[in-house]
Amino acid sequence: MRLRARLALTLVALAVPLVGGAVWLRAEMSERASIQGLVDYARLRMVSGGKEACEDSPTTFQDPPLPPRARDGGPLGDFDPLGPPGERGLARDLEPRDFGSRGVDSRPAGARDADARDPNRRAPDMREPDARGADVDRPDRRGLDPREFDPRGPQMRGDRRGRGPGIGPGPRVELWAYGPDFASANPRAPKFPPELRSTLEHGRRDAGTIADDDDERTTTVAARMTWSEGPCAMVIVRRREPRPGDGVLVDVVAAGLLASVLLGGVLAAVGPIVRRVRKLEDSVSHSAATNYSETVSVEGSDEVTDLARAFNAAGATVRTQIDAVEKRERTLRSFVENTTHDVMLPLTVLQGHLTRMRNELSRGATPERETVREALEESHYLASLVQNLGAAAKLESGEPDVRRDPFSWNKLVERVILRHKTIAAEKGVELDYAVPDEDVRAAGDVTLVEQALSNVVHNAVRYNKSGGHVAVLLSANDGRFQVRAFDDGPGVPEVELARIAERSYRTDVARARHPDGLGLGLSIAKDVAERHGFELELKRSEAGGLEVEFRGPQLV
Amino acid sequence: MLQRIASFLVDAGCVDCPKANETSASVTAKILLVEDDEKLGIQIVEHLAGAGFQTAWLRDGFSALSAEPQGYALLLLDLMLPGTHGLDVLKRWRERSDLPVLVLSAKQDAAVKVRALELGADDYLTKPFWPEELLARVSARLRRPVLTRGDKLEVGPIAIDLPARRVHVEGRELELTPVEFELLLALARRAGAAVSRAWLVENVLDPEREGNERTLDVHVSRLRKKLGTQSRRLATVWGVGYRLSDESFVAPTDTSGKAPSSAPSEEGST
Repeated sequence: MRLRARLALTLVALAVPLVGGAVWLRAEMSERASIQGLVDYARLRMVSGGKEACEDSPTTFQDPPLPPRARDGGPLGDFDPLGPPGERGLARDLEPRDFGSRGVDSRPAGARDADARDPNRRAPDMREPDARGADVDRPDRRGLDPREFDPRGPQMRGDRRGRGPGIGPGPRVELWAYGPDFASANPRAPKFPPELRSTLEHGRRDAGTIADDDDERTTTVAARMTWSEGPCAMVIVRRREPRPGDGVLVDVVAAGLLASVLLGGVLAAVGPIVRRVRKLEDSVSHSAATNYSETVSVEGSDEVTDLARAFNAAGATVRTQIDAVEKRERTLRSFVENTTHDVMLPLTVLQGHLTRMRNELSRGATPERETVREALEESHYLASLVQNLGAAAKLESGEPDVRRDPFSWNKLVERVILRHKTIAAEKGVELDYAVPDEDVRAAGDVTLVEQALSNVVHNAVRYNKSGGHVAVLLSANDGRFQVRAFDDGPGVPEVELARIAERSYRTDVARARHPDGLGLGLSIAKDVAERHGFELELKRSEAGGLEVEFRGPQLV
Repeated sequence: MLQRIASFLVDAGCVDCPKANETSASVTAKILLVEDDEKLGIQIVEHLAGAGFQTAWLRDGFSALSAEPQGYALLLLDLMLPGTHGLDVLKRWRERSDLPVLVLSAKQDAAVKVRALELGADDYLTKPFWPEELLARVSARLRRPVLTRGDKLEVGPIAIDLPARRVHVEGRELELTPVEFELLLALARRAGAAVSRAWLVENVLDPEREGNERTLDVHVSRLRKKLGTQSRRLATVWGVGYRLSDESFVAPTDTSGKAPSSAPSEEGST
């Protein structure tokens, strides 16, 4: 799901129940206030003279009283909906704090202010009961504040249409008295509503219901009086008024409007973010298409910026790995090429030697010892070459560090000496060594180190003459090992020694068979020593040949 | 057979053992070879037989896993085997035996070699190798410990009595100075291997007196004279130092006193 759609959906999903809840809560509160208002009205009415009127003539009591012209009519005659407001003043006198404050609190401030600004509008409402309910409230009408109490309920306050008959149909309120047995002495009184009756029977002091039909809302409340005896121990007040359905509708529309504005605002705010994300997406796609060699553009300083940086970091890692893989592949390819090239030459030479021996044998002659020696040497060289190419590939693969396995120099030197002893003996070169009794250990890639020393010894034997000598000495002093390999061969000119120390085998792979013969082998030895942190020294030996010395930390 | 191997292993260095030459002493040693390549296997068996070693040859890892170590003096183990890895064979063998193991490896992979050593291999031999190289390594593994029955050290006809600090050559006692005795003893302890001058100067010469390599050479020269017919055993090794040859037979030094350093007779492989 897209970001905008998700946001909109989330907002709607949140707003619908919230608006519904608010509307419901508002209706519920207003209903409660309406019921409570009627209950208060009933009690106030009965306390302020209603009780006396009722007990005086229980059979005819109703409030407002049936007007003389309508006395023959039904109980639901055309009453003044506001009822007799005169007792309100009295109510304030009797229970000034309680009722007064409750009445004030139950009204919306706006309605009160409207009334206060235009008190005259209330005048007809107050006057009307005068004509009809004179028997009840006339003495008490002084000091009446119509804003204190309004039995019409909160919905009607501020509703101009409810201000009186002249403006439109207002609420009609009627009050009936009942005895403790829920029966009225007044035959006109309606039957006590059963659901209210059962609520009161369960111990409640008052109860109310609101019922709507097509165009009218009827609010009915029942209340126990503070006295429990007599024909007026309970009161039913019923108010009828036009149905205020549009109020809920207004609520819903307002809430919907608010939600829409909010949604619009959020979507507008999300717009730039979505644009930034899309831009980032394009940038990342582009970076990926270039194998992460191009970075993602980083701008701004928010979470999207962080995301771009994270992409760049991840891309850099991927790039590094791709580079390493590619480098390894190139190394491997050049290894195969170099191996093929460099191995074919000595193999051809070896085949030549073998063929000559076969020819000599087929002539019935004994093969020349020199031919045999050269063949042996050539195969020895081949093996060494392949191992060197392998070591070169390993060194060039760019692996950050060499292995650091502990190994024994003693055994390593012995292996190297034995490796070349056959060829040395064949050439008449005396190859010998000495190692200390105790093991001299160091850490490193044993294959590479062995190849390094092997190259040094191989060179010393290979370029020596018959009757020459090669010696390898291993010793350890002050926690450092020392491996000296030296010969009495032709040696290497100083200039060449310096060149060996400088150049790398990389430049020499193709000329491994260079007549000076020192290229690949010594270069690898030098590189191996470097990679291990060993010192490698090349110098002229006392006997005039070459002396190569490895030094490094001893492993204790 | 088992007894003979046992006696070879236990009584190494015994005075009465036949000592016609180096290899004949190893005739009793039986070697187990685990190698899958037919041509190489045949060659190894042939070369070992030529040097007097008996060889049992297993061609795959499974039979190597189930083989019993008893009766063998050395295991030659190829690591690249069909069916199982040589390292597994090595592991299995190490659980059951302390037999010396020489690993044959074509791999330039240090990790495998290190692992083999960790698993208890004594050493390894990287292919390609020369037959002489193989024989030298096998012989080195099977070489009799230089010492010794009781307090006696014997190198060929040279017998050194340690507590008494006496030396007999072919039954004749030598009159040696303390330094000469220490020199001979140091060389005899590592008979067959060269000992460097530096080491000898440091460990043999009297530290209280000024000693250098020239002093050492003088002592060696005197000791050599006293050895008489066996003086050739004390060989000068070019660039290294000295070596007391442990070969059973060394041609007697001729009376002309020719320098022994150029005689490569101690190289068994030449």
